Amino acid sequence: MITKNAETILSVQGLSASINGAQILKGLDITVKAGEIHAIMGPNGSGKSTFSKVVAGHPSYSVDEGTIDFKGKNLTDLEPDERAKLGIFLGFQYPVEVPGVTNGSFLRLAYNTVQGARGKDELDPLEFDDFIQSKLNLLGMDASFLERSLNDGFSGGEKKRNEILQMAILEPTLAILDETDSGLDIDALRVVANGVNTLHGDSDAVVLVTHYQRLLNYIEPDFIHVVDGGRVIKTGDKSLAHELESRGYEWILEENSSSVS
Amino acid sequence: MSEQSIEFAASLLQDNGAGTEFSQQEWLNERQQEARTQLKMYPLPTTAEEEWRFTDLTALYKSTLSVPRVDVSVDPSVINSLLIPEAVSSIVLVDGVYSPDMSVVDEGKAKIKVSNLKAALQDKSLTSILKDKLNRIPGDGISAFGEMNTALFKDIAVIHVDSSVREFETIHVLNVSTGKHTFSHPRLLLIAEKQAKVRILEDYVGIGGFGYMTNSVSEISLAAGAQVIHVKLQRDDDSAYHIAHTHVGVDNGASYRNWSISVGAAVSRHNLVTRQRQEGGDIQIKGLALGHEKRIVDTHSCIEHTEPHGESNQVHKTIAGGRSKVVFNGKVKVHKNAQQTNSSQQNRNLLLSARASVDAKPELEIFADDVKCAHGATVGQVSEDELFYLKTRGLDDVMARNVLNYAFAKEVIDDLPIASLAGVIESYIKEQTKT
Repeated sequence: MITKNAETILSVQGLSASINGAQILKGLDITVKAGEIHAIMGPNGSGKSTFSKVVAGHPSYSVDEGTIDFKGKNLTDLEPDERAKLGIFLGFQYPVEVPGVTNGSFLRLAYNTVQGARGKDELDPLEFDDFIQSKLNLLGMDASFLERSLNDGFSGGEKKRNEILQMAILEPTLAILDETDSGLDIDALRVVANGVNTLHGDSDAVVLVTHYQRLLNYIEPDFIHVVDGGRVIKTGDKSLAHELESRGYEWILEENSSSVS
Repeated sequence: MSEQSIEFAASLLQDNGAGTEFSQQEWLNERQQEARTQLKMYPLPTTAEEEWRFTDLTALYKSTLSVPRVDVSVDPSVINSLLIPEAVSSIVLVDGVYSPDMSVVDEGKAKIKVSNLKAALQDKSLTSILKDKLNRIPGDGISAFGEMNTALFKDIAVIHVDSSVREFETIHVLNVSTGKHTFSHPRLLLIAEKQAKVRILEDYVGIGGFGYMTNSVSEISLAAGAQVIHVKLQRDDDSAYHIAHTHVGVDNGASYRNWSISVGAAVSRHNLVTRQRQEGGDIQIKGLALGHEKRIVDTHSCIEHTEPHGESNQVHKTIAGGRSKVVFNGKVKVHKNAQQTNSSQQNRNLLLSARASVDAKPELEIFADDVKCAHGATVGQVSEDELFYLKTRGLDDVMARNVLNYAFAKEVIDDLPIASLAGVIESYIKEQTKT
C-alpha cells in the first residue's frame, strides 16, 4: 500500500556490483517505502537475483559503486548477520540443506539471536513452542517440521514454506523474496502468498524478485520494476505485469535500447 | 627406528602376568605364546610401512610404560556417571581387568550371558567357544599390536548371545584407564549365535589416567541371521595412545551395524576389519573421527566380501581442526566369488584449520565382475553458501561456523540406537568443533 510521507526503508542509488571481476549490476536505482510491495522482474541473467544477494550482503559480490541505505543507514560495510539484525530478510530461491541441525532448534537460535540484538527478550524452548505454533498454522505446517533437519530432504514447497516461516519469526522490516514462487504448485503458492500478505503491514516492505507474473496474482505489488543489464529499465504499477504476461519482455528491452541509442 | 620398536615391545613383554593365572589352560597358554613368538620376530610398525605411513608412533616407542597396579581404587560415583540407562549389563574393566565390584548385571532382566575370562573358563561350553573363536576371527588382518594384545591381555569380556535372544538387549563394556604411563590390553569377544540380537557399547575412557596406552582387540562373530549393533566410543584421555583392532565375521544373512566414534586420545588408530564370510551378509558402518588440537586420529577400515549377495555401506566423516592430523584408509575388497555384491563407501572430511591435515585413501579391490561398488571421498571447508544462509538469519560468523561444524559431525549419530549416548557424544562434538 502506498502511503504519503511513509518512511523510506530501502534506498539504492547507482548500485554497481560484480562477482569474480564480472560486473552484474550497473547503476541500479530503487526506492522502497514502508507499507509498499515491490516486484522486480526481468529476463534470466538480468541481475535481479544478484540484487537480492547484494542487499543481503553476500560475500562473493563486491559493491563497486553506489549506495545501499536501509532506513537511512549505509549497509555496504555490514555483515549479512548485522543486516539481518537490523531487519533485512532474504528468502532464498534455493534454501540450503543443513543435515544435522534440527529446524526447531535452528529457528529458536536465529530468533533469539535477532531478538537479543534488537534488545528484546529471548524465549526458552517451551515459550518458543507456543510462539511458533501460530506461525506454523499460518503456513499450514505441521509441528513435525520442527523435528526435521533444516531443509534436509524437504520438497520444493516445504522449503519455500520454511523460508516464509523464518520470515514470520524474524519479523523483518524489509523482506526480499527471491523467486519464492519457483517450484511451487498452485496450492503451495496460495499458502505462501497468504503468509506473505498476512505478515505484511504498514511499517514494513516486501520486495518480490520473480521471473513470472503468476505470483503477482496472489501478492499484489504497488510497483513493478523491470531489470535488464543490471539496471532498472522500466517502472510501473501492477498493470505492467499483465502487459509483460501478454507481450513478454522483448518490447521493453527494445524500447529501452532505442531510447538509449 | 625399528630398534626402538623392538625394545619397546620387549619391555612390555617382560610382563608375565597373563600366562601364570591361566596356565592350567594349555591351549590358552599356547595361543598367548604364539603371539609372543610373533612379536619377538616382527618389530612394531613404523612410518616406513605403507599401512602406518601417516601415523608416527616414535614418541610411544621412546616412552617407558609400566604394568598398571592391580590394587587401584576407583571412585564408584565416577563409574556410575559413565553408565548408560539402557544397559541391562555393564561390564567394567579397569586397566584391562574385569572389576566385579564395578560391573552391574541386572539379574532379573539379563538374558545374555556376560563373563570375564576366569568365569568363562569354569564353564565348559564357553571354554569351547573361546577355544574356537579367540584370535580366530576373521582369521587374518591382525597387526603387531593385535599380537601384542593376544600375548598380554589379562582378561576378556566374553559375551555370548544364544539363539533364544530375539530382542535387542544393551550391554555396556566400559574400559576405564587409571594409570599414569601404563599399558593395558582390553579384550572383548562377542559371539552372536543364529538369529540372536544384541546391542553393545564398547567404551574407552580415561579416569585419572595419563600418558597411558590402551591396546584393545575386539572380536565379534555373527552366525547366520544374527543382528549386532556395535557402538565403539573412544573418549580416552587427551594424552593417551589408543590402538584398537575390531575384527568382525558375518555369516549368512546376518546384519552388523557399527558406529565408531573417536573423540579422545593424543594418538589413536582403529583397525576395523569386517568380513562377510557367507552368502548375503549386511555390513553397515558409520564413523566419526574428530581431529582436535594436536591429535592424530587414524582409521583403517577393511570391508571384505568373500561370498555372493553381500551388502555393505560405509560413511566415515572426520573433522580436522587445530594442528590435528586425520587419516582414513578405507579398503573394500570383493573376492572373485562375491558376485552381486552391493557396496558403497563415502568419506567426507571437513578441514577447519590451515595447520590441520587430512589423508584420505579409498582403496577398492574388486575381483568379481558383477558387482555394484560406489565410493567417494571429499576434503573441504564449510561452504560459503551455507555460511551465508545462516548469516542472513542473524548468526554471526563464529556462530554459523559452529552450527555447521556441529551439524556435519552430528549427522553420523542422528540414528544412533543408544539414545542416552547421543547427548554425551554431542557435547564432545560441540566442544571439539568450536571455531
